[in-house]
Amino acid sequence: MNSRLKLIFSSTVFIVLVINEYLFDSYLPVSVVLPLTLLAYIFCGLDVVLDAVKMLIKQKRMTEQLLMTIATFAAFILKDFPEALAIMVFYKIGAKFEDFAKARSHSNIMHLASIRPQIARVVIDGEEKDIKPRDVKIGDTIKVLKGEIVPVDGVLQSDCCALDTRSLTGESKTLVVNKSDNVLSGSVNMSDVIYIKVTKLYKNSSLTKLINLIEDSAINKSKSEDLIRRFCTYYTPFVVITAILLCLVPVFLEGAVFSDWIERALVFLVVSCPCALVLSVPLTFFAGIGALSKIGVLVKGSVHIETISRLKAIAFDKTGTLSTGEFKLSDVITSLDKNYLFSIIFALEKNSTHPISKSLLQAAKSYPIEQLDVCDFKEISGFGLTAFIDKKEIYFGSYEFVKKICNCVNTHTDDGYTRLYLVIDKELSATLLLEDCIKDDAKALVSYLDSNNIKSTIISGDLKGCVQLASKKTGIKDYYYQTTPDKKVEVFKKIKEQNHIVAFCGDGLNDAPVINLSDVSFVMGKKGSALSVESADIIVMNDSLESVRKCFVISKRIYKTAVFNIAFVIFIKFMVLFLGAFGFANIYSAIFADVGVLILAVLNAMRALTFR
Amino acid sequence: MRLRFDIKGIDCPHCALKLEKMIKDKFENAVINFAASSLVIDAKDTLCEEDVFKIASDIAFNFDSNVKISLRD
Repeated sequence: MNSRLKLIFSSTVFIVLVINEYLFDSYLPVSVVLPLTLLAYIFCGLDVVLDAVKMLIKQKRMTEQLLMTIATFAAFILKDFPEALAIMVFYKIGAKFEDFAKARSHSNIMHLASIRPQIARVVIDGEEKDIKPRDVKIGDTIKVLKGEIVPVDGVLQSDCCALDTRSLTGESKTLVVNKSDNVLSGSVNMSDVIYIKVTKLYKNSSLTKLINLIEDSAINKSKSEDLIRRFCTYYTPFVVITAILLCLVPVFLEGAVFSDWIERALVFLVVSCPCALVLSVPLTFFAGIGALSKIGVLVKGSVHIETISRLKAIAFDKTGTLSTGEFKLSDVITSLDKNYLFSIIFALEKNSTHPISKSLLQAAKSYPIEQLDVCDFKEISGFGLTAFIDKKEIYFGSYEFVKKICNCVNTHTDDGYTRLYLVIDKELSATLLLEDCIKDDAKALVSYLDSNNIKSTIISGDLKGCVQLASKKTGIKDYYYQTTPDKKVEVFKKIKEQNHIVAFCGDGLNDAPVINLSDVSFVMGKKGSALSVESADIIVMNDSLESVRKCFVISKRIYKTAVFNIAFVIFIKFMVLFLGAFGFANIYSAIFADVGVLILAVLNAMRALTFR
Repeated sequence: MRLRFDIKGIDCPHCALKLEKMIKDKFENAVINFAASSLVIDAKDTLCEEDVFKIASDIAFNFDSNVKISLRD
């Protein structure tokens, strides 16, 4: 008979015994009840008793099983048969529930670990061989079929492909990757067969790092977890010793009945396991970290969740953090026909690889473009472009670039916009105003922080105008501009002095000193590359500020849940202990304080899995 | 050096705490994540993988013969 059937049988016997005792006033004689109880007890409790004895003799160690065994034996001696059985049955139910909770949260949080590919298809001289991902070497070519998960990091050798990176970034949008772009392990191939040249070993690949990060989060323990640890070292010995003392009371106290005091001691033994605390609190944090990883936020330890919940201020870097780091066309000042202007810009920029050209081409798409012939195209990097279009000499670029050609007026002011000048035949024809776009979700984050009394500040190396513009658009009132790395540290120290618990949110580039100073740091993950940012505490894989906001909301809920669990478990346990010592709590309430509380606390902890 | 193991057969989270303490005493640091069934050990670089595995397995076996540790691949 398997263990579950045994448990069901024993539980049924227990229910029969309870009905017999309370509803039929012990109608069944002891000669029936005792063998039935013993049979059920052996069915569900034999392994517990054997384990307990084995551990005691072999390793001279008192285990929870031993305490339970002693408790049940004592109950038998007191002729409390249903109670004896109940202690064992519920101890088993508690253990089963622990397993269930563990398996459930494990599969939920570590879904990444379970999707981990078991093989990599290495192609050597046109022949395909299946090997373990850990045996793949740098420089190997691997093949990934449609719907398969990329096992190791590499660069794409096929022309292009569509990837589902949801498990890495929490983003549901399909990512299109072109030849020689990076492909991260853990992404799912949505196109036909692709070939990838391996650039990283399995152990350094994104997927492996991600799984390790989530697991290692247990190392950076929160203060509440540490507290519980210390509590547990004293709790069990304290309870067991008190139980022994309670047994001895009748020796010194005249008129006290042994059986009564032994029953009080039993209550203590049953409540002696702090498992409800030890499991539920770390589980709350772990489940919460798992929930956060699903929205693309990786938290490297439960301590950070605690810190976030108590945060007083946060400092933001600008470029790449509050802004996208990409330029967007914001205004055009020109005497030319716009269709013609954008035809020229399109003809020029399609030859360029500069980041700005991408956004200009995007802007040009909304105009009916005429195809123009371009000759003598030259790109002077850092300055601009020059070419002949329609036999006209064209210069397009920064003020420094065009000022030698025409005597145009420098309209450059520090208002946060980047200007590009178009000069046709030595005549200034157009001025384009570009801005570094602030992320759409920045404002929502800042107003959330404001409403929670968390002070935001921008610390940027950019010019005054750019930072002012960002401040206006995000609603962050305090800002520091043109800060050198040293100055950044100084400014951050000042904020820390005033606010004590301060976070930093940056893109991870050149921020190391500030990250080290901060109580908790967010780093924008740039689609996975920041997994290598060792010093960051929290990695935002999808660069989204909405994820940062959610991280705040969820962290607070996790922390509240954990604190509630601690208070709930300790309160119930001590109440039952207190009542038990004075003879007001029976064994059933003790079982509730042990197993009932465990189940309730763990269910409460598992809610954190669904936080979003 | 950080090594990762799967750990199976621990009875309850409270026992996991005790075992963790015993393993921690032998290495720089050790953490058992009961909910993830994982054991992470930070060991001195002078030890090799097999040594760490053997020491940890011995401690676990002496603690409770039902506990099994295996190196993660």
